[in-house]
Amino acid sequence: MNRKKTFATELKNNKYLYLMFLPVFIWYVLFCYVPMGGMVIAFQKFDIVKGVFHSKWLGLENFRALFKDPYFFRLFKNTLFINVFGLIFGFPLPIILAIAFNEIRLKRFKKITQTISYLPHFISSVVVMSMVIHFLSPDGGLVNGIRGLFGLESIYFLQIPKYFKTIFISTGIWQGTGFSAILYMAALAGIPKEQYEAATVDGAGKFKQMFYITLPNLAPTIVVMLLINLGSILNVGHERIILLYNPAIYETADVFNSYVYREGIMGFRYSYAQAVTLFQNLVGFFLVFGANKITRKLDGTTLW
Amino acid sequence: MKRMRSTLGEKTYVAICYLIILIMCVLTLYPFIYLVSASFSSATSVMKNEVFLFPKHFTLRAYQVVFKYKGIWVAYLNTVFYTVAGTILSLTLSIFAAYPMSKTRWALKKPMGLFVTFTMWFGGGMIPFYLTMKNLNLLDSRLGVLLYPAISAFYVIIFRTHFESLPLALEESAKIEGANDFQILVRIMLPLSKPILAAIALYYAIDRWNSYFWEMLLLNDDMKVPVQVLLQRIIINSQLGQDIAKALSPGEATIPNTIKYAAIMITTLPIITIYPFLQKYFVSGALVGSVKE
Amino acid sequence: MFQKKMKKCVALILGTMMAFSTLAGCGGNGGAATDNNAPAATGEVSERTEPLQVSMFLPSRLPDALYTKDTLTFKVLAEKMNMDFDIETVVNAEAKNKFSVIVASGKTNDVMAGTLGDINKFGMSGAFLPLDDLIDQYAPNLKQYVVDNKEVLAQTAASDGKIYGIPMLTAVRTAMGYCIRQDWLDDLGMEAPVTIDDWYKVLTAFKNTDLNGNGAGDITPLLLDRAWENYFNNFADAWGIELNGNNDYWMVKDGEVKFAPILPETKEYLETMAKWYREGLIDQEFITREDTNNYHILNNKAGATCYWTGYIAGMNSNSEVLALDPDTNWQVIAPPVLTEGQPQKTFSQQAAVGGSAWAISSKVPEDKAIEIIKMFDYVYSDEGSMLFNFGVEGESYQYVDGVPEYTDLVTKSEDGLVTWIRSNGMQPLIGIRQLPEYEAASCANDDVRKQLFDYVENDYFYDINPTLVLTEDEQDKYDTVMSAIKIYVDEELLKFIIGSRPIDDFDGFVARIQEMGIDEAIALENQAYARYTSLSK
Repeated sequence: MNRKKTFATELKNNKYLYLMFLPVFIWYVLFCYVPMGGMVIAFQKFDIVKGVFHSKWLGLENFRALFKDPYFFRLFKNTLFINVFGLIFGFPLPIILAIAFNEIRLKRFKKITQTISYLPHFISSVVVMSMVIHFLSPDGGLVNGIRGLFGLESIYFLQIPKYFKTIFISTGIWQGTGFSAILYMAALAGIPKEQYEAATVDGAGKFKQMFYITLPNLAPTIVVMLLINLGSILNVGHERIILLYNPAIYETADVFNSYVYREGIMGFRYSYAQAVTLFQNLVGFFLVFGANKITRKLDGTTLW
Repeated sequence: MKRMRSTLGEKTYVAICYLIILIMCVLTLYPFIYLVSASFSSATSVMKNEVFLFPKHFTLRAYQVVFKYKGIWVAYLNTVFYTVAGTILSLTLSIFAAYPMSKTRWALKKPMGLFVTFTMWFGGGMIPFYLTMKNLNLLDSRLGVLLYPAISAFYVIIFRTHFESLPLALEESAKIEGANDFQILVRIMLPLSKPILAAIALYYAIDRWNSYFWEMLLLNDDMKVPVQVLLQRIIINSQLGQDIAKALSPGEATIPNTIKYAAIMITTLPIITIYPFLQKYFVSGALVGSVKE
Repeated sequence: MFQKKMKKCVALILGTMMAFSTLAGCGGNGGAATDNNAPAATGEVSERTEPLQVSMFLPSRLPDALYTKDTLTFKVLAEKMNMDFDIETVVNAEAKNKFSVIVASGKTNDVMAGTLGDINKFGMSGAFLPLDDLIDQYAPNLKQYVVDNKEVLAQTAASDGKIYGIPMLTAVRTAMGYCIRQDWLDDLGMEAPVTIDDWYKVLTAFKNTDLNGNGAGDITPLLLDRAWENYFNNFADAWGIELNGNNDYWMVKDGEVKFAPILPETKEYLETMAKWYREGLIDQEFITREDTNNYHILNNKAGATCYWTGYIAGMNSNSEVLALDPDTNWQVIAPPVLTEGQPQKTFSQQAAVGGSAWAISSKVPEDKAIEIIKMFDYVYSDEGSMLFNFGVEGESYQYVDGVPEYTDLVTKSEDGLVTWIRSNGMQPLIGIRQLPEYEAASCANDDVRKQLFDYVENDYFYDINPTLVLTEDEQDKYDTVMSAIKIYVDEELLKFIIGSRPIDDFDGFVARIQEMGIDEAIALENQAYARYTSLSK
């Protein structure tokens, strides 16, 4: 009885919220949750002619195959390292860039440089990776050319496993920093000017303002971005990897997604691919689930 | 004395900012210049690694080839349509998703938050999605292309985080004046959200503009495909360019890289140039006036 | 890099476009030559007054000339068969995804073209009609070229022994050949290398002599092209083993299937390659270099290569190449051997059955299926073959002294012969018979033609190593074992060559492969081989 009443009041008080959310809810059901049924193929030997309902059921067989794979540990390690180091080095840069842009008062300079900063995002990875290979080539490549000026020997960067992660991560940073900075710039734009004015009156310099005003105001955005990145800790997109690696450096370069990509091609192993994906995302999801609990306690920022 | 120091400090600070930006520009600009130059160079000089900064053996051939493509103008119009209509749709739905999710008084805040974010990790993959589109009768349909990527959970979360950061006082005073949630959102919240709106609109627009994979699978009718699908055909096919090329004289039936570069230029320039128009929304201080009100 | 990406696509399309050694298995048959005794086309049109509606899914060969029902060859075919085609198409590179979603959606077109492997796989799951009975009753040409030719049959049939797809038959066996700068050999006063030792001497001379006027050491004596991923180990030919291909390194040796990387010959081969690499005879960047043949040849820096024969031969008439060195003369030479007098042979060759095929959806009713199989049969007939290789007589080709030649309309067309052919629906990726006359007529000049057919005339070919068809159960076991082994071999072969793993460690390499369970895979392959030989007898 009571419950019904509270439900009625809730509905009444938040009528417009429900109305707004309704189309969103429908969209999510139709375009996300219905196809999500496809996840069951991870537990099947999926046959696309027979479909989800008539394919053979395998239970956890695909997962067992994944964990038993002699390369499982290597894939896990490579994926994790690329993401962790990518985060450490790549995550702060868009923030720094956005803060720097925020200080620029020359309008035209700002327009031009900002446009330049996000250009790399638009160059297709095929072309970017091709250029990377050019630049690193010992035969007329820029990097080895510079080494030559200092009397250093040429290095075959892309044939030696230990260089791969650095190359790959730097390329990612190069492609994504300017683009990600836009988000932080928008967040910066939302900081009320009075806060800065008050701080200036108090005699706080720019550095102090950055630490006591800018960063705290950016904190929710930063935390949300961190959480989301954490969620894809076992995901490194296959496209850029396969464009850059070669078997001689699989040792450090092969990741889950590139492995699944090759396997998928080998023979339509949809179920296996889905099992690997499910594993990656389960790990990501539970990490975020945990981290979310922590951030909720710390400063109230959450993903849900 | 103290005043002097702070000015000096300020100057250093600003100088560092300029320096960061200049370094970034140098690092990002060169490859782009290379692309532009290569797209205006002859195919063989690119193959021979002769292009560094300026076009070598200047030619417009690559552009001519791309513009000769059947249906490229129609495809361009399609892209503009998908981008404009799609961005409006996506923005609207994302705001409708984020606003309720930002309200602690909403009983479903947490479950619906999870409902939305859950999709960032879990999905059925290519074939189930295709079958869903088929069952919804959205194959080979413009509506299908507009709808399938309509909401991105990531941007919803960004919006929601932003709405949460807006002062509650704004809403309360409007409530007293009798405004409903919808009116509050449109008249008060959105005008205060211009920077984030501009950023997310830009992101959505760029995603739309660049998207091709599902368009390729969903659309059969060449009158409906966006220009990126054509571009991808050029790019993918140039990778197979030499395919067998066995009994052929070189150059025949191969698609040189220059054409690929030209295609990239042609399809990305328009979307790149929208940024300066949006930039005015990224200026801080938009909040000030309204908060005081 | 574009090749780099390309090599990924190769996996996707390998069956479709080239399939040399992919679905192989035939020995001496140099392709399916036009046979004058072929049964007449059975395209006799039934008493239909209304054209029969037939929907098709076909991959197109050019991005800016997607097939429609008005594409020349399909238009002629439809008129001939009194059919009305409804063609759904994508560019070939995108075809695999589209093909699988169409099959999954259950709304398959009446006729579906794709890779033979996919068609067989989905055919056995029930997506396509088994064609054996239809061929037997209604299709004399298909019977002659597919069923009665046991080698072709063995390569075409699925692992249940049935035919689901009508494959493309290739005409010319030549694939990659050993090509060398003949003019430089002449400058050096050297003979074309025959043995591996000869090669070593020649390559060393290329390296140490200033043949291109840029100073000694500027020449890359030997190119290895990884653009096609696993097709750079050609020199293993000399040791009689095949380390190339997308065949997961399987080869038939002494009547059984063996895993080539663990054979002792592989050790010797790798030792030689490692030495060549160490001494700078092989391109130091062959692993990562994109488009290596074009880059080196257009810069007048390449001494020898193993690549598509016709393509390299065509360089002799390339104006850019001649501008740098008017004497440039690339010639294909016989495959290397270990000691003089051994038979000179290569594994690099096109299988008789190309990877493309077309099939009939299992949803098609019988009477319609009969009409479609007749259409397939017509495409295989001499008349149909001429249509799909040369087009329309009097328009795109004419007979000169009994030999078909393309007319000026084709040869002088704006974008060149190949583009014209492909955009008008010739050489489509469906069940056609490629004619050797087509290969000959599409060569740029006599020199190219001569070089292209050189390996065929001298029969420089080993028996092809068949890609064996596994049953579903076998495939599951195979995948579990082989996916890891294949990665390991891909990695280590390269490491041995560039010297990052010493060749002394070869035994450790073999031991590791055995540890990973290669014996199980060898057993599976030999089971499949037994089936294969029984079919082809």
